[in-house]
Amino acid sequence: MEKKDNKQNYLDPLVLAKLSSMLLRARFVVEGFIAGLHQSPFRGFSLEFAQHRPYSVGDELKYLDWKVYARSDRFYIRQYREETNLKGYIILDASASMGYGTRGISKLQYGCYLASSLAYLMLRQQDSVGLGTFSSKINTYIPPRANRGHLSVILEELEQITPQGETDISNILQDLGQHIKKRGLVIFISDLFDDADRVIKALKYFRYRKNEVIVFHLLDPAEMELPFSDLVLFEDMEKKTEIISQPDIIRSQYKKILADFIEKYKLSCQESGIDYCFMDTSVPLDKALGAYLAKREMLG
Amino acid sequence: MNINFINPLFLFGLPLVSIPVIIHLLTKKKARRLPFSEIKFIQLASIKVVRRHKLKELFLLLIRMLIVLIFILFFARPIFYALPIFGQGAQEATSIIFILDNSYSMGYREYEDSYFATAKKILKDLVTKLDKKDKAAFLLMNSKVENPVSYLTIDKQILLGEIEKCNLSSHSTDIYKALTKAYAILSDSIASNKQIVIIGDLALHGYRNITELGVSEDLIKEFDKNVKFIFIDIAKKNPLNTSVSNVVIDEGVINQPVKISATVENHSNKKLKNLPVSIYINEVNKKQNLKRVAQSFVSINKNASGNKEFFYNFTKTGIYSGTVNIKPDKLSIDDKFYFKVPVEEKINVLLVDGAPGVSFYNNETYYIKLALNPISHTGSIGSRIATIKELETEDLEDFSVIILCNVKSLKTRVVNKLYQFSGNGGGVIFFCGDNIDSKAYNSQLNRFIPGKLIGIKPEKNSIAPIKVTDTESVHTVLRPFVGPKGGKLEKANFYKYVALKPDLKSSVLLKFSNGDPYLIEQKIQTKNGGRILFFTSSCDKDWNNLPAKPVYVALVQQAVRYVSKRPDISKEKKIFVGSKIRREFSSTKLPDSVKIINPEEKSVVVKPVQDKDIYKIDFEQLDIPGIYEIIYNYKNKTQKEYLSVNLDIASGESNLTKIDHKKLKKLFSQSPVVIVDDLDNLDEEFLSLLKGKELSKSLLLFLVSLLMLEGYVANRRRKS
Repeated sequence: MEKKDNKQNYLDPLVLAKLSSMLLRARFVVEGFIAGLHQSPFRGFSLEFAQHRPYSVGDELKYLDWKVYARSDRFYIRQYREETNLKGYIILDASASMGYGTRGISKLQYGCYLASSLAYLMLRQQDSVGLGTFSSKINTYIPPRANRGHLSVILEELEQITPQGETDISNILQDLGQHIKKRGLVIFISDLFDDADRVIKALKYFRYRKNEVIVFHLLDPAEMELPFSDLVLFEDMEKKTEIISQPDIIRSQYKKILADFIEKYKLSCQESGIDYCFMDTSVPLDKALGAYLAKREMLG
Repeated sequence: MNINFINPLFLFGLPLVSIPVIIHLLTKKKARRLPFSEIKFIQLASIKVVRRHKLKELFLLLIRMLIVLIFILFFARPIFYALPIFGQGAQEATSIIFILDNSYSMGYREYEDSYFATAKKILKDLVTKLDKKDKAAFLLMNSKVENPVSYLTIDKQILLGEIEKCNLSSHSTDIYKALTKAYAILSDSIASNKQIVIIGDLALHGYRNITELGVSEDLIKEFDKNVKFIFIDIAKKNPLNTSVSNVVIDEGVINQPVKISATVENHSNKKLKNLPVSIYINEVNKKQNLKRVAQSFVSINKNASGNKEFFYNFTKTGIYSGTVNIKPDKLSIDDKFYFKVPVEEKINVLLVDGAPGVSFYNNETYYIKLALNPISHTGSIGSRIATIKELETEDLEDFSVIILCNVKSLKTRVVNKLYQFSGNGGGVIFFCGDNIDSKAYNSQLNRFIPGKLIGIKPEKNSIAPIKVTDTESVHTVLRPFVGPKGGKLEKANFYKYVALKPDLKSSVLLKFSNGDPYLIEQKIQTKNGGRILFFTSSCDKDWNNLPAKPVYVALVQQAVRYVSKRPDISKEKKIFVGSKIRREFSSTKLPDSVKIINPEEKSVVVKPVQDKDIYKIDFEQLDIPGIYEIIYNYKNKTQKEYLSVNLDIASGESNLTKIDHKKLKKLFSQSPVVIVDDLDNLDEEFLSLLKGKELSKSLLLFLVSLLMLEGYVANRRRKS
């Protein structure tokens, strides 16, 4: 296939949308992404041998490689790739506003591709992964598992998801906090259209519980640019309220307000030790995967 | 404010102003519905931007409507009238009264020309600008009524000729008189538009008789409220000025320092330092050659006056004239004050003390000597005291007046000596007292006594005093006591006096409340005979308390001056430009003619006219300051009198502080008023006030400005 020759094609959201199943999409993304890397992204300990290092006082004797000692008369310790015990929680916003999209793909679709790709990637490196979706309430919660079969459960859920209801991020995060009892990596995917202070407060709660948090902030290009003209009656997709305005007139002011909104999340996350990743739905998914892997590497 | 239109039909196009609104409504688009994820940010942006945008849109719409409006008005050709216009507007004839201020304050020289010269030029320009149909009159505004053209005429040449002829006066401003005349002229006019144009320095003093006397309302009520006022302000803002406002001179006595006090006024907000003040004096017949005899300097605070005193020793008798001058400023006419001084010999008086005391204070003559010379020995009256015995040996030729104070009787030789003294023109005054021997007086001095002495009254001491009644006499001796400001002789208490029955040759000048005479004049029939006065009470405080009253000094001095036949200085009053002088004559002393020569040597001959029992001349042409000479021509002789005439500084004319324009408008609040002070564009402005101002040019400029503004605003909107 020609598409396989070009890794960017695998990561393009529009191309992914044409694929038939979520599993296929996840595989395409992850494999395509990995194929483009110069070395394996997988690190840590496992049963598989990794390398030798000189013995130092305090090392357990059971890891001494006696064969090397026999050959070289020196003590070396055998190191193995670790079996992962990282628990990943992917929390996906499925409110009505996430259904907005102007380039053939909605924010929710983009979020699903992102979630599935991350789930695939995590399971492939022996991490356990769970999924939560919400709008005004928690729609689904799949606890994290590390087995391969768990992937199909997650992907099936993502296939069926539809945008509906109003966003109530802060309350939902508090509820989800009850489910996540063991500390792990919380991946939050949303357009964050809610009260910023309350959302930040809720995310800080996860950090308080010793979790690592990555926030993927998804926005459609039209939400950022407001590329409409003439007189427009805007209808809110969640609250169903309306307003008549002239995008041509308010565009610059709107962009300024939106930029302040994004900047506020960015700064607040930075202050709270939360990784913030802004995602335009026209941007390829590798940026998201890269952010995840960077965090994973940091966690060891 | 009034507006008329030359092409009013174009105003039917005014509904076209709504075109921009109609276009706006027709091109308004319908909003398309669009679902959107979050409209919160759109709402926030709209709050900040849309209101401002709508205002801009409204502003643009208004500009476009204004453009259409101005376009229509431009073709309708509006004419603006600052003053209300009646009749057919610009085509209507106007009646105008030009009033030119020619009071002396208009002589102020700001630059090359005086205010008056500038005002004349302006006035001539304005007259030439009048329409052929317009009628005008020309009046002058000063305290003397001068009406060069007191009727409405269309003949500009008459007006221009009279304007050219008129001169600056030395009078003060009086707007009231000029306005009264102007209203009277306009009341006969049938023109719809009537205007009064006043050209002057708009100094506050000129309007005081309106502000302070409160005649404004009466004046305005009486006349047509539709009469419009145009004030043309010639003067700069509050010009500075100083003036000599008064000079007071002591009585002139030969070889004695005479005090000359000058008052200088500073009518400005700046303090004056070391202003030179000079005095010029010469004999009155040499008034052209005044010599500077003294100079000093005076410093005066802002808006205040300062006094400077000089002393001058006259070495010859006669009449002198002079001036007090200060350094000339931009208004020079009031920097000089004229005066005249008659210089006489000292009046020597011999006081004969009929009851000398053991000490000086107990003398009968103590009070009268003090009264004759109350301040020092430098007065105009000198006196010496003699006893009755000394009188016998005294050479009476050294004296002008002899006063006999409580003298019991005189020897026949002394009486004859007194008769001879009196016959040669010497004055004699008698004061009574307890020493008086009535019988001796009645027999020996019957030629002096103006009646018959009866005896002392009351015979017993009485506690109740009697008073001198009010004086209504116009006798020279009593002049200081006449009128409300005169001294009050009736305040003195009299306890004793010598009763006297006056004879027919005498005249009673003062009498007591019971009818008995107090002061009597004995008429001497001889040609050069001296004057004789007889006081029936004492000259000290034994019989009355008159010597303790201030009026005593005036009474004694006036009596001495009268009997010594000196001119009566008490009747001398300050004479100002614009005053009227009157001289009255009895039939026995009637001059054939009276010649009056003014300071410019121009003379007028006046004949006395009969008015009931007397003859009189009235002279009103005191139009310039200076020394006037009055020559009375009798059959055998001529007699001269000199008058010093000065500017009426007290009128405030020298104070050039201007009236506030708002206050001026308020004074004439019942009439339309415009004040013009931009002299550079006066012609244009005057015409626009008179005939209105066509606004087409201004409208065209405004239209172009609006079009440019519309282009700029629309372009900015398009870009945004």
